[in-house]
Amino acid sequence: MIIGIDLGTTHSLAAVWKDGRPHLVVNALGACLTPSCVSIDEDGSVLVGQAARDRLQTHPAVTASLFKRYMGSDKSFQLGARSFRAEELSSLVLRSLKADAEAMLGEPVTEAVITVPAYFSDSQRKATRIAGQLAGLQVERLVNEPTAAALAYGLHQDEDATQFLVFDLGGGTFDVSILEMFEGVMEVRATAGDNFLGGEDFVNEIVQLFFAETGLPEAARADGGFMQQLVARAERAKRALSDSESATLTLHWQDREHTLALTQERFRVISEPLLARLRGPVERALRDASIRAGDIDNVVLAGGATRSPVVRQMVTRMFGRFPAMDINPDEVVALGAAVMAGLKARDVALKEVVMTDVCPYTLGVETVHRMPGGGEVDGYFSPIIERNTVVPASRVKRYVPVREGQRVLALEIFQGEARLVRDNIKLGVLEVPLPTGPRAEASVEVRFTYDVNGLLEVEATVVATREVHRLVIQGNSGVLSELEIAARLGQLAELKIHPRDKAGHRALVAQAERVFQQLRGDARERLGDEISRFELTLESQDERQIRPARERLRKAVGFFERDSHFDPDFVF
Amino acid sequence: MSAVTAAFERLGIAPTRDVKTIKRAYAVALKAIDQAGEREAFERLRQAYEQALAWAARADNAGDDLDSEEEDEDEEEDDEDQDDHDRQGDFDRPGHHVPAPPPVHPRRLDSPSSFASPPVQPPAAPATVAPSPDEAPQALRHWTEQLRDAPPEAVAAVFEAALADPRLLHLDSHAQLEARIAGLLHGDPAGRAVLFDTAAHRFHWTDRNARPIAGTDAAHWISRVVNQGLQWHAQAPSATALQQQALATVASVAAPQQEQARRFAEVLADMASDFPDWFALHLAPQGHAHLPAWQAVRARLAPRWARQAERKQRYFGTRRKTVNTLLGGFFVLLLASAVFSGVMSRLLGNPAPPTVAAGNSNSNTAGKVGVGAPPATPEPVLAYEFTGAVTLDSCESAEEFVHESNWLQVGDSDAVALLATRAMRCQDKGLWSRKDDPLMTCLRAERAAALGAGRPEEAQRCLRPEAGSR
Repeated sequence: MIIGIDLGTTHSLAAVWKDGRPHLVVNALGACLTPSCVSIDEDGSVLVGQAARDRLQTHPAVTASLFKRYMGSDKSFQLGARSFRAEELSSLVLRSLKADAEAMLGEPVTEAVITVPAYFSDSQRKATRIAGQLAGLQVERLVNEPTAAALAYGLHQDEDATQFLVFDLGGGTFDVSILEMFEGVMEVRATAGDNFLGGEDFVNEIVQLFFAETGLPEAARADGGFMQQLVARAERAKRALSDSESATLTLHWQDREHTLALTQERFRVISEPLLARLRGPVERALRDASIRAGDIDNVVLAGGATRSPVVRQMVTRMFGRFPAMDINPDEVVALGAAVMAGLKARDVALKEVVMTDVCPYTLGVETVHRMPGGGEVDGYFSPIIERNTVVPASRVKRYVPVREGQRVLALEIFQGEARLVRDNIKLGVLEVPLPTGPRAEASVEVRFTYDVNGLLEVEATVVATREVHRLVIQGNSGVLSELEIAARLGQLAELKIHPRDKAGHRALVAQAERVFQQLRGDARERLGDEISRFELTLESQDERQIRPARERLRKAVGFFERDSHFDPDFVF
Repeated sequence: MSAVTAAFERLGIAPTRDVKTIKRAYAVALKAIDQAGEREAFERLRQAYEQALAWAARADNAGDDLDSEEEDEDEEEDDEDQDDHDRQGDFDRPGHHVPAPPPVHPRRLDSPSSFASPPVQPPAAPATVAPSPDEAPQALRHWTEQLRDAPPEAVAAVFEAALADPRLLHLDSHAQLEARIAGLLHGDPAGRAVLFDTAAHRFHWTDRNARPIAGTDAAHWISRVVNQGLQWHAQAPSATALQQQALATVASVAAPQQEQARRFAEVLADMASDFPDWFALHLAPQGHAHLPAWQAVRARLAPRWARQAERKQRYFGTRRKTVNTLLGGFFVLLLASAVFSGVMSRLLGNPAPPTVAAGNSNSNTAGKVGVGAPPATPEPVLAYEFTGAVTLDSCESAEEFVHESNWLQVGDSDAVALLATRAMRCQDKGLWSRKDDPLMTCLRAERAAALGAGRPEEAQRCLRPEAGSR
């Protein structure tokens, strides 16, 4: 069984293809969305999901979130005594989703289709695949998120030929894809994106506004627990603004109360710079697909951040039409991943469906240019695979060394759209030793192969000797080597994972602790008593006693949370 | 068998201009291929599909014939396909667009329509979300005028204001604004460098494969300016500084004094010839007005400068020259002394060795010849950059160029190789109508020679095609 996984910046979901349609996987807490958060419990065991998310506020030093933003980089997250890379944290989330799917299907799961933002670079994709490997999942395919969303959306369409645009604003990334559908073929025409624009940035704007407006001292920024609390409140306020005209944030820092009243209009004004950034990728995608916005038959929203009315308004204005609302934007990507899993397994129900994707960015090497005056200027980007080439694709270009008697040709590999490499992203270097002889005979054929997973393979052939050099892209510390993966796998195996059947209890305690921290005075004391009582009951390990105790604590938490004017978290 | 015939064969259908049939055939073939596993089969199919579509899109081009297999076409079908293509229509192919009401689609204004058809209505939008239909054109007119009249220092602010105008929030309105700005710049570039740079940044004109939304001419002009700008920036800092100074001076001085003219006139002339479009954009309107006066001064004084320079060059042009001159002088002295000693020895009755004099005069002339540039050792051609998108327009113009121009006989192998690269790209995309082009064969050979051997003295130049091969 192959499962489809949407490994998101803030939330992750899994789905399976069964009986001719995709089904979402429900986690141990009965929810479909599992927050992409990891925390280490007091006893050293790993907590993933809602419990970890609640512990962001109570135990910021041993909890991590938003690590997807650092995939393919060297950043490490310190959780208590141990440090983790983004891949490892992601693998813990994947492992939890895998366990949920196994519990639901009643069979072991070893293969997965994982979605990645379309604009993810080579190293970010490799890191994602490694995360799957670390979680014990064979990653059958990496799918671009907007493409997955299009698959889920496209299955519902019975129209013969249509062009639509997927507007995917997730927690941390933004992607736009334009698709054409005909005769069961779903063809991505163009993709563009911004890897650093997502719902979290809107939350951050609220946080900045809170500091600016309430006179909260800057020193509060250093208080990890408080900042997480503030972020969580800002997040709530943002969600609340989806339904109501205004929302209020009240927080205590060092026994002083700070309150910010936020209206939808105000939120729109502070979001203006972010909203403006949404235009760029959309314009680029339209330009590349050579179509006008007016020719788009439908706009499909994906990603939780598109629930926000300010974003929807912006989309509506940009396209002069209302976006499609028929699929839940939180779930559409995971559902599409399940469809891809079905396609991968050659499910009969999907016999007539086929999908082609594109390479979202241009890939090439650095070259030296001869100017009309005769001078030589280096730093030029010579593309080999143009952006929005249908994949899989393989392209060859021939290059000659600059100097006579040059012994090594250093192929600097870049990704990007600028004419000069200094404005593009460097992927690595391939050094090709050259045979002795005249320069003109030392030409090298460089072949770039971009596969359906969005991974790049570089091959350089010295024409004279037919000597072939293949690149495992070097000089890129963001990607783990095979040896390192094996080592990390060993380390991860030593970690104790919190038992799945106790996840409900643990999550409830984490939630209770979070609410406890926000309460004051009498209420705080009362909830503290309730938590101790529940923990005592847990130690008895007697299910008959635990169930009513748990119900009691749940009610207490619910009461105090409402009491302090919180909206209940939507996951519950 | 032509590439197009082969493409249709791969799709498993008879050649047709019906896009729907092509798409259906592609869909059927695609479903039989495992993209991940059979990459090469997929790439071949995809290439065939793109070629077939490109060919079908060129249905109206008379020169585009496919051997003899396309008699089954009829006009009605042609129109339908054209419509279909037009619907997915390209911004960068305005020539194929249906003419539309000017205020709504200004980018189509300067391009002739290829066939008659009722004007397309602007995209209908729900009244609740879009501004009323005449507001956007009004706003477009307003901001175009504002941008036209804004002084350089205010351009950025006006530009931002235009982009933020709520009446222009629709994506297509921004596209139209871009087209208008491109038209404005192209029509009257003098001194609008700031506007150009701002627009280029916002609309990604400087990107590789940029696709400015503009009329064909304006789009080509933009691409030329961007290229020339890159070349201009690649000059030595001292050269660019001098050129900047020249631009500023000619804008502020109506009639140059001799010294100014001497300093800048040559620089201006070089800029105008090396970066003509870039130069026209960066020279303020006053500069354009003053330029003829400067040119007149230059024309009047140039012969005198040339004489002065020549004189200077003759004596102390370069250090080497100076050394040579001194050496020459020394040898002349030697010669004189030799002659003198010869005469003396003759007088004294000793025969003089004549070789001394010959050797001296030889080295003297050799010194003179060596002045100037060292003998140019030709260098192999590097990887060529093909700037600008491979579009129908660029291919058509390249094709026209290859067949109309006779400069292929000129010994500029770099230019020939560049042109060949362009032509081959066009052919790969199925946008080159002449299938078995003798010139293409020749160009390929030229390019291979240029890329491989480095110097194509030995490679034969492409000759002007015989009239019969057209």
